[in-house]
Amino acid sequence: MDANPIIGLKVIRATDYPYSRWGMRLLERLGAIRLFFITSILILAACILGGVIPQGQPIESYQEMFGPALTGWIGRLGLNNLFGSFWFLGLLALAGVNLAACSLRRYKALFMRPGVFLSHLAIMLIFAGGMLRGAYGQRGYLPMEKGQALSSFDDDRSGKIHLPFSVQLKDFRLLYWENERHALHVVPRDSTQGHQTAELRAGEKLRLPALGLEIEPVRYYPDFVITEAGAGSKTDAPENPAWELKVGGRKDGASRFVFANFPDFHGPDKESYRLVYEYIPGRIRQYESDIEIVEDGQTKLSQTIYVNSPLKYKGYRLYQSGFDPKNLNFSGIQIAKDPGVPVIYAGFSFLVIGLAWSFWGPNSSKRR
Amino acid sequence: MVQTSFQAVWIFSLASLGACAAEYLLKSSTRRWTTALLFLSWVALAANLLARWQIGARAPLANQYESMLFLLWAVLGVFFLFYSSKLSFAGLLPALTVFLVVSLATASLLDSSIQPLVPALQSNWLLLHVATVMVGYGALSLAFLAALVYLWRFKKGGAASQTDLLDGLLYRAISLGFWFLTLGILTGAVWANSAWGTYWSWDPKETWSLVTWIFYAIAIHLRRTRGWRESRFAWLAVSGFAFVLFTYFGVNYLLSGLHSYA
Repeated sequence: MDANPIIGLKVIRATDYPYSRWGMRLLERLGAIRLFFITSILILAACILGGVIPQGQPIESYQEMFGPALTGWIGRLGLNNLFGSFWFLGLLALAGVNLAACSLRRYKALFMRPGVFLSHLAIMLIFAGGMLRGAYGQRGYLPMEKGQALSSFDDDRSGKIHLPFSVQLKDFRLLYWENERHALHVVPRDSTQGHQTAELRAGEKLRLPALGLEIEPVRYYPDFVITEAGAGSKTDAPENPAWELKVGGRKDGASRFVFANFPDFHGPDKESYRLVYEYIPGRIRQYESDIEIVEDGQTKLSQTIYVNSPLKYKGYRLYQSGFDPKNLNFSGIQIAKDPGVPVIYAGFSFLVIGLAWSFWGPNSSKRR
Repeated sequence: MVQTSFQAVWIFSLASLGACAAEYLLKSSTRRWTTALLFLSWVALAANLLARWQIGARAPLANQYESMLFLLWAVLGVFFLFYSSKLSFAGLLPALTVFLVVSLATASLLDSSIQPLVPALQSNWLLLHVATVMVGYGALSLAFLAALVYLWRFKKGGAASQTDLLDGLLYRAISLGFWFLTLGILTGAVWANSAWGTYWSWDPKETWSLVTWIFYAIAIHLRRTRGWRESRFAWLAVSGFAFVLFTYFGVNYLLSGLHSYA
């Protein structure tokens, strides 16, 4: 045995071990601090590359960003899916082996410094949890319409997965901090007169005596379109918001339309004012789905899920993931099962405790 | 209250900058004044954050502006945690004061309105995750300032008592910052798992946080096993801060991802 002059750590040499000399030499090599620096720097460099090069994009976008020559290298080295590439996973595996070998090699010393031991063990647990997730984890997406029931989903790696129950979407709701608003600006062409603004609500007449105007909002079209049947709305989403208005005082008494996306469109007339419609979108507070879990023909669980509040059943978790503003009957639900999570969380706890022990625990000041 | 306290932060910060300048111009010690004014800035920052908390009925950590104010509060908090009157000799006070004023000016360019939370941020994890990351960044920022002072004043050596003090502060700040950064990354992972069903997505912010974490892990190992102290460790602290800056600002403006609202 010899002692590290800097930290006073006893390093166990091959001759101190009951195992074969060859095995211990391998352990020494694999557990060397030099290997830790090499793997860490390589992982650091790989993460920087993966952080700079967008991941999982179609090949055309790389050609646009980096040109054909660099795109070739990106493809060959797997830099477009760097974090799933064999060489990156190999680097992580090597880092795990390095930690394990280091802990084995210095196991007596590490027990004397439990903070360091716990931190190293934590990283190994996190790696182990990641491997469990890779081997047994399931993850998919349930695109659901109100009333629809699904009992399977497509997993990226395992293909179609059949659930031991079915998931039914009973209802979906969008909740707002503030609802959408519709402002109508009446702008006189004579610039010496100030403009007036009023809020449009169906059926509520607006009276603007200063301009001698009476405006009746007739109908709101969130996604205005002209069809053979006349004016209509293509979807419920405010893609092309428009209002049909009846403006008192017009000779023909006909309706006119105002469009949020086309504020300069204000009809053929040459009136003494312009009508400019402004659509003010609502601010979404939350979106939530009422979910029912049905198993063997019986409802086992009814729950409302929303972002940050998933449903848990038989190891699966259902997460409110998204919605379609064009179709408010649709709810996107993420489903996941990850047996590695308890191992990962144990690793997280050990890491926090281990580092604290290592930095501020007994005898830590000696290593500063 | 929000406006008044923010103005107070500005006034105390500028006054502390003035006190630093007076020390150099008048050749008389104003360190106590500078420290007291910095403390008042810290109190005013706390008042500002609490007022925002009360008005918004949520933790004031929902956007870049609020997180930056919290970061400044954390930097000053870590400074007072490690405060020793002996430290003021080393030029740390002017460095901290300039950092505070420049950061406040940067924050003033950001949107300061108090907005309700988007659905993804409506969780108790917001407070734990963002606060721990910001305390981590705050400690690493202080380490950066201490490293700059070290490299500026003692690169070619100095009195052992002074260099040891600054080197000790550097290590203590990095240890604290690294621990809080670890806690911040892990609470973020737990939150991600409860919100999206995955604790790690290699989102740009996650990836760059990991880059920062690995860098500081290497730095700590270099110090503990290879004896990288003083100047070499100071250079590591300066380099590490570049990763902190990129993770905190660069990712938000240059790369899009799950943290786009941050």
